[in-house]
Amino acid sequence: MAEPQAYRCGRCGAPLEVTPETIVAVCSYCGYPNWLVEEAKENIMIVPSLPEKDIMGVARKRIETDPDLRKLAAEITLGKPQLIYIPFYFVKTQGGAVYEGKVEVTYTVTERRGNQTRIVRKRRVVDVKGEIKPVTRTYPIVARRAVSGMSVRVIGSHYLRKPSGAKLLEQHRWTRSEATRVLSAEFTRATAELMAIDKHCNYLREMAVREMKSRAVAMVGHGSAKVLSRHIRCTARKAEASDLTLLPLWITPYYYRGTTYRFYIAGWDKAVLLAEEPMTAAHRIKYYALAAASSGVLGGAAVPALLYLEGRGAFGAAAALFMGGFLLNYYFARKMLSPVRVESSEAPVGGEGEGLGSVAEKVSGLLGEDVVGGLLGEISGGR
Amino acid sequence: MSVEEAGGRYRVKCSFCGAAFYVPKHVKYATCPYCGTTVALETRKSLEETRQHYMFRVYVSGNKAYDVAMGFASAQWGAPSDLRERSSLTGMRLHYIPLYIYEINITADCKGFKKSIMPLIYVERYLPYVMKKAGEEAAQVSAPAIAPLPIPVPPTYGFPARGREYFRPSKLKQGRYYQPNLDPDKVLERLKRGYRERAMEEAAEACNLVHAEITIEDKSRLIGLAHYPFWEITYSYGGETYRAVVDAADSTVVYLEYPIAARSRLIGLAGAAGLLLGSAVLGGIITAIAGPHLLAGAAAGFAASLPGAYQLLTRSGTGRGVYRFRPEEEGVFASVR
Repeated sequence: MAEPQAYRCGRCGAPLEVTPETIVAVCSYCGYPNWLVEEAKENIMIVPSLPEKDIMGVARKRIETDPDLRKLAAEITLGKPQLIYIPFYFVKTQGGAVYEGKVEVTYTVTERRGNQTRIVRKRRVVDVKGEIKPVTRTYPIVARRAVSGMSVRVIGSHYLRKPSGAKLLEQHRWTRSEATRVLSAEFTRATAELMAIDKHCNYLREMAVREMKSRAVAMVGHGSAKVLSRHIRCTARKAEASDLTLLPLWITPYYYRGTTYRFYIAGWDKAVLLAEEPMTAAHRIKYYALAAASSGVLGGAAVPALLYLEGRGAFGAAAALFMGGFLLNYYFARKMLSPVRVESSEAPVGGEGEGLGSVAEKVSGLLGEDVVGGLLGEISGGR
Repeated sequence: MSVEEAGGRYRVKCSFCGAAFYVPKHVKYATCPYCGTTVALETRKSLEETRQHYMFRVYVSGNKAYDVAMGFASAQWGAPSDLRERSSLTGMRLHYIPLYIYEINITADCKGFKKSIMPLIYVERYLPYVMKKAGEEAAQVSAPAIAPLPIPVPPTYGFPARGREYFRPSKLKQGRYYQPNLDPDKVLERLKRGYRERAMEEAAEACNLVHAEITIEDKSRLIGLAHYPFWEITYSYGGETYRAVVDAADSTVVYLEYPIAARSRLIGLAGAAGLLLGSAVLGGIITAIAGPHLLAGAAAGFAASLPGAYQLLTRSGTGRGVYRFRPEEEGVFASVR
């Protein structure tokens, strides 16, 4: 085995405190900054953070003004916020798609026979073919391996929407405590570019499916669409990663009745990205009512759908209505029994469908977007 | 500094202070327990080549983990209001769970024949054609390196962004340090299956060639090993024992058992009955508006509210709630990391 290498300060020779995430180790004896990643000096950008007292101010204000937290403010105490700098690549990705396929459109018509009217469900299969012009999108990729966590995903998206002056890391003035909060990158920009292309192609495929459906519906006039077969190809792919950029994230805990909740705050513009809040009795009652209402209304509506709709689609529509009620009941009941509520100001870019969104997708897949989309829009708008 | 093999371990002699210490064989970097000097036990290769091993720092003490678990249990529906006062900590143990870290990189090409029409004579013919990277998957993932897992930890648990540190022999005394017992190649095979299928599906979807054949190019690899700390906490309340598992690096509660108060159990039973009944009445009304089949509508409403009633009944019936952190439910039903 080769002679092992020890990490020591370049000026005074004292041992350095080194972790796998260290970019620069500020010597605890003489204060000299030791660069462990030489190439870092020119390649890394940092978005400087506002001071801790500003972050505390935002947290305090949130507690005083948030409609839910305001009522509990007397029992809330604020903890000390913690800062970390998270490394990101922002990958600008370009690509389009070509698609072709068969789409089935289900629609209803009102027929009149003598003095009786009845609603008939009909189906038509149409061929669609087309192209999605190259779209450019930027994806935030965390340069850390196997990292998960909503806060990390959300801060990347927030920076895309509200960027701020980044400067070279080398020009940043270090304090010892701050240096230990900076995380180094674990992979190169080439890897980040691959990951972004994967995300972009998935995005384009979804876009193509949506376009196939809407074009098919437009050809028929109205109704809901289901893709029967498809060929989608992602074309002209290009990806270019930005310099590694360090984003400041503040995790600010607060305590209410012995339980810890957290605010996740962006360090450069003080935006509260995510807020965990206590699940109060009032919220539990609201979700309980929503659970009962959704299963009652949609479950009940399944019966007339089965009896009064004619044509082949009647059974499918009834089953879909019932399943919609069933799933929403499940969703709201779980929500009611959850220990925390999370309020988010950002939807992560390139993230997977979450929560109500994914339930909505399941339900609308069964029922057709026109019915459930409107209903869910109503419900989530009211939250 | 010198390193030599000794009984399945490495014996490292620190060049800075001269002290000797032992480290397990998979360790690549170690910190001397006496003087704090960190050493690389191998010559450093490029970032992409080095097989890594690191640990995650314990930011949360055992008592703090108990405190966090208590706080989180108190926030659960149905937990008794005197939970914290009347509970007592009966045990805590730190587990270092080994996880493999992988990079997934799979592309799928589609080979086949493409129809073309010969100029001038207008004869159709099929020419061989390759569609490169018709499907692709790229990801950074981790998976447990031991089976069975000694504590209930979600199988797809990811890391927080920070907290990595090098091996320190003193860690072995602080907690239970598990050596990996799974073959990293087999774990990768299992892990890749889903990604590979998706790449194949994408390629099949993209490919409209005749006699299409999909070939996979797989550059996925093992990056290294990480030991991740979890606190296993046991506590008792009203003569019963409950268990909790808390992430010792970022204090996320990943598993929690908690008691449900007698009064809440009654409320839960009444709530389940109310949910079924309320939904049945609503269903009946909706149906009655459209026609005479009131009972059928009531039955449909009743049936559609079963999932909610079930959730209430399981908690009320057993008097014991179980919470599991599922990464995919973060922010919706679970707290945020």
